[in-house]
Amino acid sequence: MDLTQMQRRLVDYTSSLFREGYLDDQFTQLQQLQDESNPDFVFEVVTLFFEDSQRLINELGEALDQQNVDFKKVDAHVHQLKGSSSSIGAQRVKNVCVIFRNYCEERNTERCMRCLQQLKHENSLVKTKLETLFRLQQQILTAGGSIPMWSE
Amino acid sequence: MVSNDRKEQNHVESCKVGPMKNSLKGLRILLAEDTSVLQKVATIMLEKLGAMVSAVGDGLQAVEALKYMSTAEEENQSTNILCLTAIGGVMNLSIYITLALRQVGKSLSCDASREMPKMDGYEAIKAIIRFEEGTKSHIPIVALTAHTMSYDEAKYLEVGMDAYLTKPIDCKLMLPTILVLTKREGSLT
Repeated sequence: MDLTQMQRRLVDYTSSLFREGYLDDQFTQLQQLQDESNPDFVFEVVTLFFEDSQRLINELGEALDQQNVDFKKVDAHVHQLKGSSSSIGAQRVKNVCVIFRNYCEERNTERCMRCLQQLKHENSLVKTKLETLFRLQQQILTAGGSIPMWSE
Repeated sequence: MVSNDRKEQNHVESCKVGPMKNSLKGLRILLAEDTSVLQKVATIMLEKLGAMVSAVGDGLQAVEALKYMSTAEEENQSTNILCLTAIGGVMNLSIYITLALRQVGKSLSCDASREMPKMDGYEAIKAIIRFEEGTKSHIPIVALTAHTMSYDEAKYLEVGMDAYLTKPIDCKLMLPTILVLTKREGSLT
């Protein structure tokens, strides 16, 4: 596959992520912050996010596993996850967080647990997608090309 | 959500720093935000615009940082410090404290800052406002809030913040807000 084809594939793949709602405009803002002085910015922030999200998902699991669920604590974790997911543009994860918070307010353990499952699913999905994205970018860089600037 | 001419739009309105690179040069910003991802993104955004950013993760660190920064800027009449603080959760403390610093200058003692968590937020703010007024420097405070604010958060805003930005931070809104508060609108051209 030549460079142009690789670049085309990257653009198409990225567009699909936006189209399917995995990513939103905030991700674009992140990309725009990346430059020669911060060449790995997006990768670093995304990595930081997944470290955070994994930790929060684990803590949510523990919190919901209690006899008497501390919904304030659960809500605080979800609030954090909502904040960080929205700041990297992980739209689907953020959307689950919004619904999750409503169930926290209702103190509905059953529904909260379902939301947690949903969160794990969406988190894992977007992680895989972004890993693919970074891999495609790396292939282009290794072949001596540059990452095409797109806007979505 | 995505329109066809977005590509063009993005080029014009985007957060591409380019010409605005030094808009915030000389400005010291205290960023109080306990979520690491948000802290990192906001720090880079602000540094790209030329600001010097001190990032802290809790209220007590925020007090120390602000005291240090205001001491350094003592002689300067113009606003060279701005505080950008998340509100809610562990950052509630930083609101009381930054408001205190604004109302009473640099005289906030360690004891007072330790007492605040025991006070109800709104009571704390009212108590702070009862302190003597008149400070040499006014540190603008911008709150970072979630789209849906709690009643408490709305109260804090009403009582003492200069402006607020919703999270995730939109560069296009953040820059003009900061420029206006630090009286640097001229830098936009």
